[in-house]
Amino acid sequence: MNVLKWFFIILLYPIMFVMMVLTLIMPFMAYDDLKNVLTYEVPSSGSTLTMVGFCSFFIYLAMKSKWLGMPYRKITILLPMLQMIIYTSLALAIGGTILNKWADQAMFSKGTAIALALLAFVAIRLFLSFLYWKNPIAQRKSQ
Amino acid sequence: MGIMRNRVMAAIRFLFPEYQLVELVREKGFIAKKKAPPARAFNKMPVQQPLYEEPRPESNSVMYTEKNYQRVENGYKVQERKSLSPEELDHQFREVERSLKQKVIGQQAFIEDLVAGYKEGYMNEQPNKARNVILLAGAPGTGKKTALEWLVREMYTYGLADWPQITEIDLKRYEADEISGNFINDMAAAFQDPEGTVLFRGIKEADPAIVNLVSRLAAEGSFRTKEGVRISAADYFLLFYIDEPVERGNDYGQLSPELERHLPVSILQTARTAAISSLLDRETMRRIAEELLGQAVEELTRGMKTKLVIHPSVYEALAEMAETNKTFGEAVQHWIETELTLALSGLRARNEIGAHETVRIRFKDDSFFIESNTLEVPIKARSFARQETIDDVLNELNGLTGLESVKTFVHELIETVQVNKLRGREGENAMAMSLHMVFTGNPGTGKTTVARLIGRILKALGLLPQGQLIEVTRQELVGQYVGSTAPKTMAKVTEALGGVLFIDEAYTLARHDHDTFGVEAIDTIVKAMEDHRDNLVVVLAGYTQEMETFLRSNPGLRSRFPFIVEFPDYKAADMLDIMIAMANKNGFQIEAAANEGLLELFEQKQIPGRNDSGNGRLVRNLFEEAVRKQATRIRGKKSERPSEGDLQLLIRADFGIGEKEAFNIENELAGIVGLEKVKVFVRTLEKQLIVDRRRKEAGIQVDTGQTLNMIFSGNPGTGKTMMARLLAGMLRSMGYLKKGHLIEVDRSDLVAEYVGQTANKTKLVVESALGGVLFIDEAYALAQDGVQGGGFGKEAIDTLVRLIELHKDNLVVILAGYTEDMIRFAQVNPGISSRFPLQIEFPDYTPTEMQQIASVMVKARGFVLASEVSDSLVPYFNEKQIPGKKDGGNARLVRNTLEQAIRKQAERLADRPDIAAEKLNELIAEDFGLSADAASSGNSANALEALDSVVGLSSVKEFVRSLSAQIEVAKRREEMGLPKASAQALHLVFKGNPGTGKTTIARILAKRFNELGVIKADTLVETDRSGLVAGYVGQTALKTKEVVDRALGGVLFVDEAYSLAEGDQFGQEAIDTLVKAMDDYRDRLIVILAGYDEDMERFLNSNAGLRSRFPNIIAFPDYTAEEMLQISHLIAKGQGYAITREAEIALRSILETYAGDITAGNGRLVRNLVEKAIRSHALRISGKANATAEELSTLNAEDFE
Repeated sequence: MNVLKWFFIILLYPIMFVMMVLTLIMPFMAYDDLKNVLTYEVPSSGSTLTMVGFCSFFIYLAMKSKWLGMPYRKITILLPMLQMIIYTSLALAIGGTILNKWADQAMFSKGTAIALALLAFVAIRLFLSFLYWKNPIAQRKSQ
Repeated sequence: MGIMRNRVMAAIRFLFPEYQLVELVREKGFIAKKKAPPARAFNKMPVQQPLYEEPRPESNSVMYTEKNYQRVENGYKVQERKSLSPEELDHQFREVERSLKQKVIGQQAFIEDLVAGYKEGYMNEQPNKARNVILLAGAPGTGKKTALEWLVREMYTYGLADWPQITEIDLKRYEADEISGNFINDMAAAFQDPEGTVLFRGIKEADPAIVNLVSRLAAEGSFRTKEGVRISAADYFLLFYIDEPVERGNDYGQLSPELERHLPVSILQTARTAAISSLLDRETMRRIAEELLGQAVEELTRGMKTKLVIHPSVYEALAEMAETNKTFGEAVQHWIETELTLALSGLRARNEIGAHETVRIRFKDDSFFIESNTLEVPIKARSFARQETIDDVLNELNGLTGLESVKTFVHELIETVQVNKLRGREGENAMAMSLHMVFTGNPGTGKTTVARLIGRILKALGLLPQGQLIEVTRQELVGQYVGSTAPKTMAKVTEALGGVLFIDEAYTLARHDHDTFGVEAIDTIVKAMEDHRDNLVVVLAGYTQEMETFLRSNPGLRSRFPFIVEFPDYKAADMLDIMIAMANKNGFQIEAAANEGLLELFEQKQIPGRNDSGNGRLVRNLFEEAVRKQATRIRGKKSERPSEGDLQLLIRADFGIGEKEAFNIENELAGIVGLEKVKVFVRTLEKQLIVDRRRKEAGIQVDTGQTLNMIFSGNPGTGKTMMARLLAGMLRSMGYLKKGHLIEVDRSDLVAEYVGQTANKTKLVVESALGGVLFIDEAYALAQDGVQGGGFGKEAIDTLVRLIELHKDNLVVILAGYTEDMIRFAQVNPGISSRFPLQIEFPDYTPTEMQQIASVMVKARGFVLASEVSDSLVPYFNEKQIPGKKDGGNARLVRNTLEQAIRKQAERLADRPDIAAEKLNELIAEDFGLSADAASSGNSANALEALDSVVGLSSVKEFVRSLSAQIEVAKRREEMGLPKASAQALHLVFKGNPGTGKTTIARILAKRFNELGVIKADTLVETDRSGLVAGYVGQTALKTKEVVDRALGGVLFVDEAYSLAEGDQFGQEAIDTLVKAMDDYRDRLIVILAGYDEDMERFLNSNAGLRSRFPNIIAFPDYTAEEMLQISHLIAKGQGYAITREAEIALRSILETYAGDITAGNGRLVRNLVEKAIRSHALRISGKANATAEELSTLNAEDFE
């Protein structure tokens, strides 16, 4: 059992670190995509959503399993921060998808697309805010 | 403005939850500490509702740095408290009090006191002192602790305290030697926070040193131990908790003087306020019951998915019972936890109550019921209906057979306890009762059973919380190495806490004084008994006598066990009851006809004083045996199918009760040869028995019980052991003994190697013989301790005498040994002879009897005696049997003779293969060496011939001839039936110088006497002073006796006898013994004293009786030169040499020079001269290579030069 566990750790931990770094830079990549779509008015490949899914899976694993999440818990804020980044990236990715709809299929006008994308982004961010207001990660003063 | 800013900040915080990351880093640092709780990204536990938890003693992972620390643990955030203004304080505490009053019912005054006490703590804060010291008192179950818990919780909610928990320290848990260890550790853990509430309980029972420390803490705010650990109670609330009903003093929380009874004065002085809960009335109790039941119902409903409806009668009943019981809320809580919940969940688990079914709980007819659509089950109200449960246990106790004294004891115990409890309930001072007990009695008398019942009774009485019985023996208490005993014992004690510790065979813990392990175990138990006075009952069990010794071994023991209960042995009727009960329990029936037989059987098997295999265990063994026998019986009857009834029926035969075989004494005695005296005795006993039976039939009661202890004295092989065995059997058949077995022991079985062991060893032997016969062979050896014995033998005798007296109805002791030894032995201990009224002498067998024995033995071995042998055996044994000789006589002689004959027969038959088959087991005269007797009679002339061949000594020869002639004639007269001449003293004194042939003549005499039949053997035992006299006082007689015994039936030749009279009294002792032996064995011992002429004269003169006892004095004159020459010729001839004429002359001249010299040595001189000549002849001839045969065998004159 132990051998298997260590084998897993050796195999999985490097991937985990790569994923961590990837997750950290993901919002910037998504934002870059958005910017490119807006600047050049050409659709992007739209791989951000997949990446968000993939990263979320790893975060999920880290939260589910004690020892898979070990490296994440070494730094107190890492796990909540990554979660927030995932939500933000998701917001950006959905915004990107809406923009893509405009750039690729011209479903609606550019202005509408930007407005919709912004709306989606703000909605998801608000949802995030609400989530963390309900379940704060740091203790607040008792009322 | 500020509010505006705050709102903006809050909005930003809401919009950007990333800010929380910053807070998290502030709170916990960037890198996670070890064992940090999992990140609370999605914290399931709502922070707003603090969940109260018991403080855990091991939760030492509290960390704090400075005054303005921040701490998070168990989901609580420690609050940063601002100092509050008095108005704010008033407001906050009013709120706390209000919510508290909602939660705790019926204790308004108490809550006010309590809240006031806390408030006081905030108003007059003193540096380095406890905020307040509060006494918390009141009857159990009145909500003291609940109120306190809620108070602290509320204070936390209102920001008055930074910690919603109470630390509880039970002071009575600590031993005096734990002060520097556990106590300080726990105190340090409790007082490590900047503030909090610590509750002390068990103060009254606590160690004084601990009370002292705590009181100092309360008074001064801190204390320091010897080890330098400082405990400070600054900013703490200290509470002293008393769980007993206390009268409320007045309304202002002041201390009532009554508290002194419950608290040490030192503590009482430190207390600043008191909160005393009042007793609850019925109405309040009802509300509390409703409240508590409501909570329970809610939980149960959730857990079991069933709907619970509580009938109002339940509240009423609970309230009433709680009030009468004076345990209030606790009683209700207890009832809910131990009865309602258990009963309900049990029913639910067994699906007797289905999911979503409606269940009603109702009180009617004095008990609680669970009702559903399908069933109605009573809940046994154990905690309330105490009388009933005790009755249950008592019924069980009364169901036990016999044990009247034990039952009385238990009843008394119960009454005492109940009255005591009643007194306590009425508020009087209940007497503290020590309930430790000692159960003494034999195994199988129900000690363990009763101990188990006692545990349950005490539990039912409420004296023990669990009432479990932990049964231990020595090996479970005692460790293997020094120091391991106490922890091992303590582990058992801990296991037994709340119940009964039952130590079986407790006396093994103090078998002897050096048993440090046992003593350690005892000490530990005694200490534990003191420590857990109200929580543990120790019951010691063991045999009556051993327990007496045990209780005496430790002075403190007896006083600690106020109850000593003797478990008597069961009577036969009791045992029958037990048997019937046991059979019924196992589904068997015992036929009524068997009862009487069983009674007899039990009577017979139960032997008082015997520790093993009696009582209840005996019944069980008999029962099991009967079941086995029954099985065999039924299987035996294969043909018919056993009916149901048959399978369950145990009949008389199964118990081995059959028709009693009529005891026929003559049959038994027929097999014994001789021993008429013994037979007569046994017959007398039997007659007595017959008379007894007649008396019994006539209804007359007499006690004919008598001491049947015997002394068997006689030589070996006279049938003592066999007789004892037969006697045991006969006594059993006659009903004098119950078991009739024979335990055969000797000194070595009774006497131990070390001081103090003997009594024990003897006791074990005697106990093993109970109900039978104890046969002590060579018993006189017990009195012969000598130097090494060390009085052990005496100890054994003393023990024996005592035990014989003790078990006189169940034991027959037979001492056996040689006649004289036994007589002397009986004199040693005056108690012996009186306790052994029957002294039976086993005479030596007569030759005819021996011949009979031989016939019996031959037959038993499957051989046949040839017809002529039987007759010739009588004279043979007559000749062989030497009366008074201890060894090799009697039956043993017969056996040895027989075995020798069998060997000889084998030799004879092996060489003759043609012999007929029926002759193969025939023993003929030749095998016994009887036919050879005729040949040996030819030797008769030999002795006289040998006498003739002796050179010189004509006077001696003459005397011997005349003596032998006289004897011969006397014998012939006897054969012809003429009157017998009086036995003649044949003891002789040989006087003469050395080498005059005294020994030779003695040997010839022995032979001649043997031929004449005066003595039965021709043995000559040669001895001198050293052979008779021993090194130590008192040993000489023994040594001389041994020599005499050896010579019995022959001739004892004492050389240089005069030396016995010289020097010391040892020689004198030897002479005395010798003289006595000569008298005792007049007809089978001839003593010859030899010595130098004058010396012997002196010797005979020295003792007056000697000369008369030695009527025949033979002087051995010195040899003349001529005789000596003759002797030299004989010697030379004997070695194959010849002496020449010249050599003869030379030798004569040499011999003449020795004439008149008594030291010369006569015959010995001649031998020496001849041997010297032979050596010089050898030297002379060795140089001559070609010596002729004649030269080689001729001694010349020069050889004698």
